Amino acid sequence: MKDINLLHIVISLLGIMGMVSLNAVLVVWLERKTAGRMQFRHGPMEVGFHGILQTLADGIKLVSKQLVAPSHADTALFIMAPVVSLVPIFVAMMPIPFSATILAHETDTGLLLVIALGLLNTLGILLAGWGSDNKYGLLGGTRAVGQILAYKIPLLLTVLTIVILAGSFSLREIAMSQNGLWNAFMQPVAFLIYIVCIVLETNRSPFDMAEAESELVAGFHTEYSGMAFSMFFLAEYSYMFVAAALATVMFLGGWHGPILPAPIWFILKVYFLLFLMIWFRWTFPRVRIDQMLMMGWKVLLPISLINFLITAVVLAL
Amino acid sequence: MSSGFKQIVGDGLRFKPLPVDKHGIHLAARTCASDARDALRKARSEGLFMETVTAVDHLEDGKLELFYLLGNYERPERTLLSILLDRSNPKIPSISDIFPGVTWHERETGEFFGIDFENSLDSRRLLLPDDLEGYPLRKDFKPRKLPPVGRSKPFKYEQASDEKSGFVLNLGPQHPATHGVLRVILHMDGEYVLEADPILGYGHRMQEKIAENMTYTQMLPYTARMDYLSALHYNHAWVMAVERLCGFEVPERAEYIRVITSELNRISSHLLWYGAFLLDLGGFTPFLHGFADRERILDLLEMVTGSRLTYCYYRFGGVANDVDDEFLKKTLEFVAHLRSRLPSYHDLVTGNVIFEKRTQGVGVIDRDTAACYGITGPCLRGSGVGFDIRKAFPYSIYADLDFDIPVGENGDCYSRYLVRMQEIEESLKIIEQAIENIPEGKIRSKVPKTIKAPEGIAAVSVESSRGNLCVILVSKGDKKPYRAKFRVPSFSNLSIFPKLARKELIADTLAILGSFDLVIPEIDR
Repeated sequence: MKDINLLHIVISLLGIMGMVSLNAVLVVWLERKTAGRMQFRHGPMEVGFHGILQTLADGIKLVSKQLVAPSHADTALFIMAPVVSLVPIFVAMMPIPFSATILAHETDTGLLLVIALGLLNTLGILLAGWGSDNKYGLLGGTRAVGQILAYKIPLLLTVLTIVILAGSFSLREIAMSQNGLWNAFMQPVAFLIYIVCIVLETNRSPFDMAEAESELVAGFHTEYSGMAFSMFFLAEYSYMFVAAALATVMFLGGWHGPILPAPIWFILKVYFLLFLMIWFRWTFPRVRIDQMLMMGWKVLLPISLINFLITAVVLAL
Repeated sequence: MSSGFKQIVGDGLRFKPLPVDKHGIHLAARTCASDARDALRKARSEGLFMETVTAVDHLEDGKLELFYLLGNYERPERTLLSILLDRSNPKIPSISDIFPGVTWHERETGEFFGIDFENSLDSRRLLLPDDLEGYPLRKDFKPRKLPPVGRSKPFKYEQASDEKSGFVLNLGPQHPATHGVLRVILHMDGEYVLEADPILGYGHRMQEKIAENMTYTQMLPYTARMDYLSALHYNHAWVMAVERLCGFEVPERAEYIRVITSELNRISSHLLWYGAFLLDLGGFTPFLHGFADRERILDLLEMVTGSRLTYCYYRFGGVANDVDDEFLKKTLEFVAHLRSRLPSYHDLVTGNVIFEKRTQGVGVIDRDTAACYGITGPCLRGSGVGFDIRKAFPYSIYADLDFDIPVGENGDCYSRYLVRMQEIEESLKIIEQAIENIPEGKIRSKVPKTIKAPEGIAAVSVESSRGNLCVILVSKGDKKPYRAKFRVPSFSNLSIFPKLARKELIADTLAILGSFDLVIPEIDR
């Protein structure tokens, strides 16, 4: 590992913060526009060109709002939860390679780092549900924990499949190894499982059981308002980005692509996956929590295990 | 005594037949309080369903007359059992062990008239605030003081029934999935509902008392406010009840207009339900698809009625305005448009595997349970019973029209969904035929300016979007109705919810609630 330069880290963290905000503005806009198009309406039109600055305006409104905590809430946990949810994102973004040279921090275990930090999102959700002293919130929080147990193992198994293919945990090297054929074509089953898992990981419809508007009012963030709420929002869209970026690196050949420069290719692929997730959200009804657990333990886990074994055996031969 | 009545409610009991004057009641008899239970037990074993329980206060005779109105899913007949109770001490044994669904009707009648249903399974108040004194539908009721605003229904936190197993979740009155001010107290064990207890009355306006203080004409606009999603059906039921009682003729053209507009109203209600149901299941897009097409219906109805939601369009002996050719042309265009849109509704939802998994086998109602609770409308037809007022008691011009009654197979949420989607298609068929055959002519017959209905009772049913809507009108020859009872479909349909919700996941209970197509102001009245 190269020696860690403090200045380098500060600068890249600042860059990542800008990225995260810009990404949220773009993805929320994309989401609202896509939803509008699917529902015979325009979506935001007023602020900026075709409403592109609407998210910014919403953000300013949310920041200016008072942060209200319920009187019975565990205030420390209540305030901590959105922070726990959002902050790991900044670190998780560091090892993501936008091209062979553009990445904030190269480590040999980048993949493990990103996945481990992704777990903290669920911790934030559980803290929020527990800390806000609200039964809907608590149900949402426990659902999120049940969910993470069900999908994390198949997700790790698919990731391991890719790791033994590439022979490295470094995101840069995994992307480099796919110069010719993308892993999505070599490992279609793993790719599909991973797509399901990233929708699960980001708590988005059809797997948004943790917030489940029509059942749990707003689930874990029922009691949140203002900036705390918007931090959960920011975290959700940033996790979407990280998950999609990871999928791009592992399955879609990272920055590889003809004609266009490498970072552009990378961003295009990431946004294609983000669009896919938006598409799911505005098309599907919600899965029931027990059905989701059943799917995780009884379908995704065996398939990913078999896929992993087959890959390992084929490589060993 | 009519032999049919004997056949239905049994021999050996003391009955006094009442005159049946063809106002929607086919068999009527009076019995005494002690025989009522036996008669109703026989009725239950005959497969009759309890339409409603209600009462009339005969102040000058010192009597309360209790009505049990029984319907039959298989045969078009309605049986009325009347029991005279002493006004000073009205007591009758409860029949909630025979017809479990009757508990709510008994609770309502009990609190309105002060009738004591002995040994009832549940004798709490249903619609009225706990601190109200007196019985509002008794004729000598004088409200002493209005209960202070905001305190009328004190909010109590419920304690868990069993401390060891679970907690209480207070669903509503403000909750995204209760579609209005319905509150359900859920006793939960983790994700599972142990017991559900709906609390009604947040939107209660005592419409039946209002009706007693209004002339027949003045009451008409109020009817639309009960179920704002099928306002025209309420209009229809009210004007038809008065017309039957007074013997007014309705010109044929008016009947055609009534059918066209009320079927449009039905489609708009079903389209809204389609969206709201999917919203309950977590799908957002169908909601706006349904809304976009519903908007066209509202535009059409606005052309003829002048309003978009709470219509007041039908009049005694006809309708308010004539329709023009443009309306008919645009309606036909809409029929074609919706036909072309329906496949995309099915593409988006019907074949979706998540939707099927969420609705198939969830909230199953069988025919017998439906009869216990008096379920009607699409909820009943989802269970395979083809009971539809438009076929059973053909009113208006429905007898001349060619349409089917779609029925489901399994009685689950999925069947109820399919039934409603097919009903949209049937309604389109009805509209097309009606427009094709609409005759020229008058739209209103001559009726007196001040309507004085002759003495009598009429029970007139209309198939509203949610089921059997029945107006029971008792007149004593006055300008105002002596008693007007609205038997609303959602009330009976919701009464089965506690039974269906038991031991279900919370997500499933909300799917069940959504599949009923509830309109809470209709239940609360």
